[in-house]
Amino acid sequence: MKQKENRNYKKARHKKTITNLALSNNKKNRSRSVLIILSIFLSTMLLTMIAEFGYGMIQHNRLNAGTFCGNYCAVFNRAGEEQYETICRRSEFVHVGRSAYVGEVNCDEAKAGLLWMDEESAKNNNIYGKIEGRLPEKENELVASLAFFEKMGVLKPEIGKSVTVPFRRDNQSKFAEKEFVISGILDSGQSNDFQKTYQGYVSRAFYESVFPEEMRRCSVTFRLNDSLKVNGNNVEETIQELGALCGIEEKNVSLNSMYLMWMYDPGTETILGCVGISLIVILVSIVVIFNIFQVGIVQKIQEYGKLKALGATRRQLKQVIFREGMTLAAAGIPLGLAGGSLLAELLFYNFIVTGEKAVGQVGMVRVSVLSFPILLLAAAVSFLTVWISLKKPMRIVASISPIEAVRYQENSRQKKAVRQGSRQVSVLRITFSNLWANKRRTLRTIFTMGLSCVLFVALANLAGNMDREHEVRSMIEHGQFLIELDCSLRDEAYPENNLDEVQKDNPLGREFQEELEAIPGVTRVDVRYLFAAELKNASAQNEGRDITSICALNREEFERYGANSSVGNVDYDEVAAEDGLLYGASYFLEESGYTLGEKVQAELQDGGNKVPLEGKMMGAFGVAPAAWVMTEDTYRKLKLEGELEGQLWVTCEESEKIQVEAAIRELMSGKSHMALKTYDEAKKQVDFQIQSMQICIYAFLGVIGLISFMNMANTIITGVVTRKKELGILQAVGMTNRQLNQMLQLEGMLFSAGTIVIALAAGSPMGYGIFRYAKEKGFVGLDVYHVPLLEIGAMIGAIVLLQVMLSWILSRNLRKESLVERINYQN
Amino acid sequence: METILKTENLCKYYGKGENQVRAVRDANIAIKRGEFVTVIGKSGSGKSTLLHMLGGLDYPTNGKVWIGGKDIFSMKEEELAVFRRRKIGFIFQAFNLVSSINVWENIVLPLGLDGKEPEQEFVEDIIKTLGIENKIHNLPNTLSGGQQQRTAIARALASGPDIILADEPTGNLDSRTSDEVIGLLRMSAQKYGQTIVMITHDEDIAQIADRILVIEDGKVVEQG
Repeated sequence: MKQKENRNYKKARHKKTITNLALSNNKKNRSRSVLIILSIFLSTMLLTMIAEFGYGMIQHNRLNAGTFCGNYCAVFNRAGEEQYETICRRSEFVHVGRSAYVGEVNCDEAKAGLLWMDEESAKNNNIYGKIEGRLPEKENELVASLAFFEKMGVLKPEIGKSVTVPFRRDNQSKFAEKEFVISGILDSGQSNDFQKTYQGYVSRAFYESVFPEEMRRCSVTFRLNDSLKVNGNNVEETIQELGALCGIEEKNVSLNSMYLMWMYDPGTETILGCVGISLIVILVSIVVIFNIFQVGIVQKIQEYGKLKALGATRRQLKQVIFREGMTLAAAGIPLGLAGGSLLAELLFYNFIVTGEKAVGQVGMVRVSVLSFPILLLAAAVSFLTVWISLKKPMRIVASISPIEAVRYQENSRQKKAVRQGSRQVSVLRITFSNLWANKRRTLRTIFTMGLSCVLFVALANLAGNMDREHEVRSMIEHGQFLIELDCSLRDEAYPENNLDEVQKDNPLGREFQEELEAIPGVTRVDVRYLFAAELKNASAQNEGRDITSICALNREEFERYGANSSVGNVDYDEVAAEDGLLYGASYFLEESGYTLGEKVQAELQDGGNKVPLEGKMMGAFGVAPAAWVMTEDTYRKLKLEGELEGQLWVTCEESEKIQVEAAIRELMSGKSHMALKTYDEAKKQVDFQIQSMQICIYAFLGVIGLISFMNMANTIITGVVTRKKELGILQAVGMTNRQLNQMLQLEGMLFSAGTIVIALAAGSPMGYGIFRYAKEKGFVGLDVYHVPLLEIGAMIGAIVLLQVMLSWILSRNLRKESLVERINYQN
Repeated sequence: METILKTENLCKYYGKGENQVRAVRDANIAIKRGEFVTVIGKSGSGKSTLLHMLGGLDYPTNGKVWIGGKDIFSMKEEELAVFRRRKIGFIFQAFNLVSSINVWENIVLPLGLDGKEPEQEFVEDIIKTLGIENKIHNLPNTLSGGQQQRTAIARALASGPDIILADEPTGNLDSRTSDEVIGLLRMSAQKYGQTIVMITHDEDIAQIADRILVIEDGKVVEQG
């Protein structure tokens, strides 16, 4: 027992001695310790920021998924009473709500309808909380928006007031007037899918009075029970299977894909992105911390040799280095965690608030990016980074032979005993000779500095090439205003919202265009024809009706869209000559099942008529305004009778912009299925998007750059400290302060120059590759490539400035000691 | 003969009050051109401090140093550095060669710093005199102590200074090499007409000088 106690005591003493040694080493190499702490602090800060920001994004999307796209996983359409009851009975479903279409309301030019929705369904569709009053309960009660009541002639609706609504159950019935009592008023400030038409909500009793039992079919919305083991990969399949178990046909299942993605596959991309960026940070940090330690060890190798000569074991020497690193990490990591959390919170808040304003979304749930597990993870990764950085220095120190180490001088390691040199000596030659004598250290530092600058140049090719005007113009192609049809293609629950239905009485038709042209200040109205078609090919994937969209592009548009990532033949004349068709998204071409040269058979929905079309599939655009594209020439040849305008652009005098916008809004008021987008709004949105992306990229690169600068600072400082005596000798034999300063500046300049050469040589081709790839993937704002001269210039400026400042400070600090002190300095 | 170096009440004190150490006290020395003078003293007697002040490496608390008629401490720092490389040659105990450049480059270093081209023949003659002609491309760390000190002597001679100051040049050498180095120093001083002030604690070595100064507790006196 006593022996054991004695052994434990001895062990504790050993540990204490080693820790004390490590601490005193850190204290003695103050500048090295400060630089390592700073590097660890910066890398932990970045890691924390990236992790917390990613976590925040995922949480934000998750918590706001319901607000964005409804709080339900899917809709089972055309469900009967029995099926509804089965759904309610099954424990897999929670928050089951149902709604049903009750009928059409006669409402001049606008589409209006009546709907019954139970409380749960209203909650799922984000309507419940927006009702002033309550959902209708009695047979004659109604809830609707102010706009709906206005249409019905009630300008100031109040709860309890009556309103008369002309309505019919279906196309076969005649309109009949029904008097309702207002039980609630819907806040129509928010736009959502249900308000594409003017919607009124009635009670179940009214619905049941209109439809006899055998005709009742409802849409059931639901969420899945949390206990169900589902994830992003199997949620769709699970819902389909559950639907089948409840007797719901596959075609009657509409998934709420956005909600499912955010709830069940909340951030594979975000997580992958964060992991990728973190790996870069970790790599740079490892190289930098390793290099700082390595340079320090070479400087202190004699001392470690003495320890070994005095009897320290390999393990103990390793422990000294390990504890040196870990005590520095213990100082740097908490600071990094705190700094990273603070910055992540600030950045995230700013990102979300500004984002909300830019895209006009409000009322989202605020999330905090702080998470204890994430902080723990960041701390663990940082410790791991330091540990990996220490592995090689630990090995080197452990393998020191005491005799060699005591005699060790860094330059004596060089294999060559002679140097050809030159007959004449100058400051420049002395500088070169020193860097050459410490080749490995010099190259390692240049390489590490270069690594971060390669990253900078590569990403600057992305950030510096984001063309805001190009991006805005991809949203608003001409003029200052875009008015487009706001409709679906295949909405089975609300078929009146579908493109073919809307174009039967197209709100963007000739009459509306004439009204636009008549607005004072309007100089031009551009039109794009965009219409629905039913594909008849066997290769079409969808079962049943395969409805798609086709647009006609004129020569200029055709060439513009054809300029990027196109496949096959995109020559306007050749496509026009063969009346060919082009696929709208080359990325999905393979998935679509269509092949080049294939005959595509379709039935165009020309207003009320159906026109057969057969066209050769000649190629694909990178991205186009519709799923399929034909030339304007082909469109003209078809001589379609309907008004098939899909988009209108209004160009006006810049000075008349405000009045023109007001006039357009006035023209649009009361009409449905159309949406207005302005150039100014799009610009604001693009500015925010690009600016936030640029800030993120440059802030990230800035911190990475700073971490690497710690490395350069360490090499230069160590170079000066280890050569303090030599520099003193140079001054004793006549080197002036100016020459000393010149020498240090020159050394720094050579580091900088090497770094810049590596950065440009490796970063430029890499950057061009990234640009091409990102452009292909439709990354925001990428159009014409140009070398990001401004960014590269700023990077070179920053490197040179930091290096000049460092050399100047060092040269000044050096002179604080007297010449005699420097000559007598012993490492 | 012309006085090349002169000091007037040269003092160097460290610390204050009771802790004050008087390293050099009122030293008044005059050294003539071509003289070989040794300063002998025990460890801590202030001899290195005296030499550093004579060479303008350290500033005195009081007093003046004239070299070639110029008050060296009236010069600005930059001016003094230029003066040092032109008018003073140094030989240190620890050789103090620059490790990243070869022997030749070390020798012509002061000239290079002055932007001057070395007189090839003169430098080659010095190198030959010191017997290191086979080592001119060697890096200093690959040489023996004696060879390193010979390189340092060559460096001190190459710029043809007014005076060479040697601080215990044999302190790091064994006795045989010490004798060789001192012999070479003496011989080359005579050959190139150099003035040398050498510090040593070795009385035997001091004997080769024309004149011996003794320093004891900072006070410099002529040996009787």
